[in-house]
Amino acid sequence: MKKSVTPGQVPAAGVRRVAVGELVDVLCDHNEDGERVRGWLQGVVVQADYKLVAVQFLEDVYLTDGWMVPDRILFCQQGADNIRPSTRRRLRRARARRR
Amino acid sequence: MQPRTSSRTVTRKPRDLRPRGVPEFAFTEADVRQVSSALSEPDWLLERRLAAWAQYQATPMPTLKDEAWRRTDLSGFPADGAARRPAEDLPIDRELLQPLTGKPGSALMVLRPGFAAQREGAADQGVLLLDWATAVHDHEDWLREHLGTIVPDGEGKFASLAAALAEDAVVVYVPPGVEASQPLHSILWAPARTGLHLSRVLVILGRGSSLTYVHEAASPTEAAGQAIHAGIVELKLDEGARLTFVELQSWGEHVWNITHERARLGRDSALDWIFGAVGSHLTKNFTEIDLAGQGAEGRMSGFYFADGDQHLDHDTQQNHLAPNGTSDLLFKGALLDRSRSVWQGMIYVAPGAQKTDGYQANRNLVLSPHARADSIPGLEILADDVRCTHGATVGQLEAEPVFYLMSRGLPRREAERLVVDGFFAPVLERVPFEGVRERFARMIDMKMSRGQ
Repeated sequence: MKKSVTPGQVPAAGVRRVAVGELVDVLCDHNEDGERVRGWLQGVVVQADYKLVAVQFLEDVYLTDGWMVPDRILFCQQGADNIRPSTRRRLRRARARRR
Repeated sequence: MQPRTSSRTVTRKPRDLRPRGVPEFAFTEADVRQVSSALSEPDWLLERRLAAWAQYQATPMPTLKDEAWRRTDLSGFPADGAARRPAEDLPIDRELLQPLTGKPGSALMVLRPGFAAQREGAADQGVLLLDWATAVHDHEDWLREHLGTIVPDGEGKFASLAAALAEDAVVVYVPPGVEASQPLHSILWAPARTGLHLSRVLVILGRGSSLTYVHEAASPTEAAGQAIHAGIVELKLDEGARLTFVELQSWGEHVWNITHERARLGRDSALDWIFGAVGSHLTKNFTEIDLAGQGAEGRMSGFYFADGDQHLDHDTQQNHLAPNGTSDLLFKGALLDRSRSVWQGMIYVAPGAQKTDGYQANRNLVLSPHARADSIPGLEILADDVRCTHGATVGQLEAEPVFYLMSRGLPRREAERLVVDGFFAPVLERVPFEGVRERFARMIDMKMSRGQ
């Protein structure tokens, strides 16, 4: 079942921009304990410009209509409400996953 | 069996192209005398105002039968009953006060019809940034020499009206050889539910001088209001002068805005003229660059975004009057709801203006099935060794880039907004100031969020 957490995609002006290599949390659909949830998931910024950020995840991530994103990369707008600097240290991958 | 027959009467209503009556303003010569007297103007200026008033009276109100006004209908124009009155005493929008050229502390002038001009900051040594009263009293001879030399008082019905009755003006002068490092910024802030406001801008750059100047006209929207602004903008660049002129228009959406603007470029001078228009109920903007000196360069970059029932009409002219001139025009606009844009451009190359290089392009993004964009480029070339190109497009939002962004997790709204941002990118790249680019980006965001 899909749980809903605070949605928000409104970009704010004059906010800190993230750069390549930074750890960020992104509000997105992903799996947690075998259940599809919408919540914050840690990823790493692999591409960034003044407008857009591409974030790579270790876990499967999904579009809101349910489709999985094959390469686990989502885009966000710089300064949007659904991306924030990660407050946790880099998570190690728990185990090798078969897709 | 008898074949069935049916008779159907088709009634066609002919398109009514008869010019509808556009009401005249109810001003008289006494109003002109009163304006001049209240400003303690010298006799020559009163005479000029009266001459402009005579031209105003002799010129009929434009109708759909006039070529320049074929696509802009003034029916409903609230001239009858429109009075000159002070602007409402509303505080100026704080965003307008932000420095747009990234240099805080530069000279700023705020004009508010009916109030004394406010002045902050300092201009560079020798550079003048004056309101009308100061220009008339302290620089009378200079003003007499330059006023109305670029846009004649009889240029059109509304130019004559502004020349006869305008009380608010910004006058800028950069002496020869002075390269102003501090940009100038002026704001015409005219909140009003009804009434008529008239303004002038006069910018003169001496030989070899340079300047960056930002002029904005703005007011809040008054839902049940009907106000009018008419204005004149005159720019004159002497030999080798360089001017970056940014002109932003965010009038309230109850304002009918009509302006006549022209720049005259001397030998080897360069003008970078940037327009941004998001406001007004109806705008009719005549903009011309006269490349009068050999080797002059004129660049015009326009950005407009209309929604609701806004009607934005830009009529541009690039006049190559001397050899080796270069002009480059790019206007880009987007339209939402039932809005409409008109761009009519002309490159004119005079006999003998050889080695001219002229370019004009207008691109439109129509974001609603009810919006409409008219784009009419034109060339008139009377010299035989020139290069002139033009292009015009009207298109809709492409589904493919929106789909691509959505496949990366962006919601449709944001995806569409990004594609619209991308559409405007070529014109924003021509803007050399981060503050102006950010203002444009906020304008796009504001319009897109209202349209969804």
